Amino acid sequence: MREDRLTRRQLGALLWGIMVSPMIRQAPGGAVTAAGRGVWLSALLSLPAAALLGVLMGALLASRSPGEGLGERLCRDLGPGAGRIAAGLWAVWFVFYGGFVLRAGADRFVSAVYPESEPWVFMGVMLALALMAGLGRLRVLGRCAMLVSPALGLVFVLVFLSCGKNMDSANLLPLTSRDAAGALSGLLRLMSALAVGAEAGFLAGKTEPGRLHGTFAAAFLGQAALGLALCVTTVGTFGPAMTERMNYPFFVMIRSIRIPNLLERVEALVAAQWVAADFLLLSALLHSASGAAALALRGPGPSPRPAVVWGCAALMGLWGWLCAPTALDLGRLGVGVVAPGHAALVFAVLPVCVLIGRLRRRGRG
Amino acid sequence: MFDLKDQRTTPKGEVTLSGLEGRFAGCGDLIRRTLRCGKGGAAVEALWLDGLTEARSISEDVIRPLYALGCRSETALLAAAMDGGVYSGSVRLRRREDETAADLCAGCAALLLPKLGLALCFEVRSQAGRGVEAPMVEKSVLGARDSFTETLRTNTALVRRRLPVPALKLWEQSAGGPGGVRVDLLYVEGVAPPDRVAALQARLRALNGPSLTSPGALERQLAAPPRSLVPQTLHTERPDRFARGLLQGKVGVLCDGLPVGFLLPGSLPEMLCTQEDRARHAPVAAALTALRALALLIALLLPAAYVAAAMYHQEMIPVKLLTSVIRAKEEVPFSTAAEVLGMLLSFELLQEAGIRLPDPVGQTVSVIGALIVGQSAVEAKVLSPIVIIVVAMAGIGTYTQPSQELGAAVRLWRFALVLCAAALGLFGVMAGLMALLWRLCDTENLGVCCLWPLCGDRPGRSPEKGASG
Amino acid sequence: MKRAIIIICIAGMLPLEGCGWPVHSREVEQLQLIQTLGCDVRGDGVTVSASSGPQPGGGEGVRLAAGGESIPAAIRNLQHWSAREELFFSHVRYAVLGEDAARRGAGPLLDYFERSTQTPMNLPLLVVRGGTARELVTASEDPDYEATVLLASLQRDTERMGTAHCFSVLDVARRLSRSGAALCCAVAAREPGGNVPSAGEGALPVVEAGYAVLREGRLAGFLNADESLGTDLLLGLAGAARYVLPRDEGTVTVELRSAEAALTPRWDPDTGIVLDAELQVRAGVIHSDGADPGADGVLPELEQALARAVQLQAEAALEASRTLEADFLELAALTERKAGGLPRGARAAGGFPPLTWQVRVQASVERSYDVYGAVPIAGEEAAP
Repeated sequence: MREDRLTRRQLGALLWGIMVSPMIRQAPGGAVTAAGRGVWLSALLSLPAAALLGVLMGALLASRSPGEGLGERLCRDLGPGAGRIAAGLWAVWFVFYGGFVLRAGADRFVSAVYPESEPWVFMGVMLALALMAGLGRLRVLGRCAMLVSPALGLVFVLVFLSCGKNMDSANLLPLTSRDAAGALSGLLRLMSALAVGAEAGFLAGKTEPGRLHGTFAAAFLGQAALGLALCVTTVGTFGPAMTERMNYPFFVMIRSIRIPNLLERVEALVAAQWVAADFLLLSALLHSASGAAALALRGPGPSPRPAVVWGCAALMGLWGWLCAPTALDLGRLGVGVVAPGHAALVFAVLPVCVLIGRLRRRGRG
Repeated sequence: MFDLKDQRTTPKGEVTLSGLEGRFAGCGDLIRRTLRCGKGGAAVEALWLDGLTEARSISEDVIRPLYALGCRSETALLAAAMDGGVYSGSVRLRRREDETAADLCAGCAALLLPKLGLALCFEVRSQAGRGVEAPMVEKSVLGARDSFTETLRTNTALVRRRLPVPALKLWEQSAGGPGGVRVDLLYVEGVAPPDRVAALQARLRALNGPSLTSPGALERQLAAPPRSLVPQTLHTERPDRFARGLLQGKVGVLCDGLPVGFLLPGSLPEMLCTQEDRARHAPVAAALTALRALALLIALLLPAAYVAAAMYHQEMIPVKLLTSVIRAKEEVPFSTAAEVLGMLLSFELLQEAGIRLPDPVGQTVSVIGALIVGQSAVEAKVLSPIVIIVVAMAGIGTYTQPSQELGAAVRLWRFALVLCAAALGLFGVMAGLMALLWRLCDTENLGVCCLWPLCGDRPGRSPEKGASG
Repeated sequence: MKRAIIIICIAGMLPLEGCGWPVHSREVEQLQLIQTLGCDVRGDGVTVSASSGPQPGGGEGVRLAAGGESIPAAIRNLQHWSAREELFFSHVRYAVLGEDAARRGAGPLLDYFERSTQTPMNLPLLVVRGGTARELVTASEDPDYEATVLLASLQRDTERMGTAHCFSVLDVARRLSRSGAALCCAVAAREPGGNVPSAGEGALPVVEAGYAVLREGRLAGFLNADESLGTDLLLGLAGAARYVLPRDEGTVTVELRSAEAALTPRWDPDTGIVLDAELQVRAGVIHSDGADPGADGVLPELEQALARAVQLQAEAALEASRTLEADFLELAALTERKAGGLPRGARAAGGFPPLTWQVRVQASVERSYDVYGAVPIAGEEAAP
């Protein structure tokens, strides 16, 4: 019997990597709409919130049995019937979100680097990569994350260092009371990006035994730090009003980076790194979706069959093709459905399920 | 003292002269001689294969002492020979013809005792063969300058000299059954994980002997599935590197007839290091390793990056360079991708031609290649100069790799990446790179990923249960 | 099966190579680089002019102009004039706006640069004073005086001399977004006053002409040389500006070595918001015409004169900002940041905030480059 397990370091790297794409959408694009100039305050507040979320996730998974992830935990808490229904709903959500990620990723490439190009080719390639990873072992994805996530981090560090000289402190200060009030709603937007990482708890069943508090906390904290840096540099460069107008302010910002006499523009190079980020996210979603779907269909058991993976991938691709005919629809879907959906599932539905589980255990004696 | 009691109670052996002659029918190098054990002594048949054996050893260490023994019976001869009456360093008692035939093929001389149906096999192997020379590929400046030869026992001796401890274990297997190619598995007990040793022993037992004619053939049989372009074993011609690998917990394989040693499991980061780094200061060695890693990336990505930049992302190229590239490319009839692919192909053709031809002719081919591909192609506007520079830089990057197999794999991978770049620009390059990374992370041998330790697996990871290759 | 899939994928990429669909690609030789882009008004539409920049080997570049109802439409029409397949704007180094276009509004041009994936935003935006961008971009026939070359030279000189600063499209856009006003470097095709500097036959010299002030995206006016330098001093952008200081015996020319400004708004119960502008300038003597800067008492007088000159320039800049009702110094935001805010309604009204100012300058002349006395003319006695 092959052993398909992530080490805690690999899980941490995977968690960080899968949250990069959602964070780029929210920080500061989605958050600045709510928070204005105080978006960096939202990002600052997200640091302790991220650490707390990580510790809570670790606590939630602390009592897991070998092979038990978030999905199996739901089955245990809600009972086999209700637990499988819940797993099924999560599977549907993962497929929905995966399709959105496909479409959003393609739109990002078209907007930033490949104008006059068709988005479906990007979607097809990303789906093929994710399917290849989804049919394979999760451990391999973890290994990839160990290499990809630090590389992405390095790219970010270089970008922030290069963009620092274009920043203007007048874009960030002073904060008015209205800005400060908006910081809380901005915080919610940023936390919705972190919620994607929390949903990766479905993969915890394939992680080596041990405490996961530190793993989740470090990944969330690192991602919140990324969000803070994004908010500060982007809003510091453009100001809140200009940032709010842009679809992808980060990619507009990097249009100004040049390495004299070597690279005139680097946005194509930086945007290409998002293939790696989207690859991690889509692959993890496919693993989670197929795992949750298998859980819903037959209950806790071994890894899902390839047919389930193919099915989830096909549905993801179909939904990605249909979900947003235009970029405007995509934006509305992201703001109106995806971000609130993440937040609702992780910060409302999941705690309710855990509470029900506790009450049931208490009732049993 | 050899105990004859066992022989009296043991059934008669199966070794016969006619049987052995039948096995070696058509072998003109089989020598047969009837000998007597002293005047009026027991008559025995001696067999050996000419060329594999040392004639002097046969006469001095076997025939002369045999005659001096003066034994009247085969039984007495057996006891005397087993007790050292025959001077040869090793003597094996064989009861089966296939074992006797295997010993004859290994360079032994066999004395047949027809009444007992037994054969006594004496080690009289010829020492003819290539001596220990300096390494041809892994050149040494500060380190040792000996290398493996085609003789297995010489190679094991070279390793023993570096690890003169009884913990160095040597497990031998004849590939494909008795008489097959001898393959030795070496490991340091207490350092190499036992299950790793057991897994490799299982693979060696399943070896197909006659096909072990080249290092690549053996490597393919040692590699774990899925077998891919990714090299999974380290191989070296240097005993010092081999011994260091054993001390790191790897398991080594030496094969008779192959002047290389294999170390398993191998990982890509280790393939960027050379034994020569050990002779240098740590910062220098680290810088050189980093340089090789950079060269690997250049070899793999530069042609694809150029195609992507020239076809999709021209904004990346500085103005002066872009203007110069535009001017150079104006009259070239081929697309950028076709130029690069054609140039890469020409590069490979020149390289293959240079390897196959004898040295004097090979140099001429190199000159012609440089003139035709370089100078004339540019002047005839068939190629643009920058493509030649890009491909040449990539080629130099390949040649800096200590591992030839890794370099060969990179040469193939970059073709695929150039196609990805031509189709989809940097997005395609990254997608291809992700697929390649996935493949590398998915490749394991003996439970160790080929990107270890970069992949984050825990050290000393045991192979999967039941993994036998 | 896996190998078959891999081979099919690789083979499938072959037809996609370079065909331009579904991912847009082009060969480098299909590109015509554009390095300077100009925009003027034409009736209800615009005229866009483009220049390809210096060619290697001194060859003649491409100069184009076309009109359309909008900038993207005009650029599309510009394509018709190019012999190569595609005009390539990713390496545009200068954006030039004609005066009339600036008066109508810089918004469309800024919007074009923001939306376009080709054009960068960190390129200087210049306004042609008293002329059109087309005249600047396309008129020169001499490759040594091509528009890009001229503007590059001008940018280097103005930033070194500190008489003006070339703000980029990004700078202008975010200042307009923040304070409703922004500065652009103004250029003129001729020196104000009508003299044409000698620059070779057929040349079109370009000279710096202070700043153009944009208010709510539209041109509100120009700053003259003193106002421009005063603005640079207050913004901390002053370079090696020169001052000719009169003396009884002649003049002494000093060159700024550094200039720092500290702007501190404070609330005064009697006068309201007062802006304290403390400037510190350091200079060196570079020319003495009859006067001896090393003589006793001369240096303090020079410093006083320099301080006075700098003070006048700074006050002129502040006055210009108030007159034009354009807060290009972002004093409103500064007041909010440091003095607790503006009076109610003042922020909403926009424009120059209701404040008075006090400018104090501390000047020091630090060196005379090893020559303290006046250099004697042959036949005259040397000064002791």
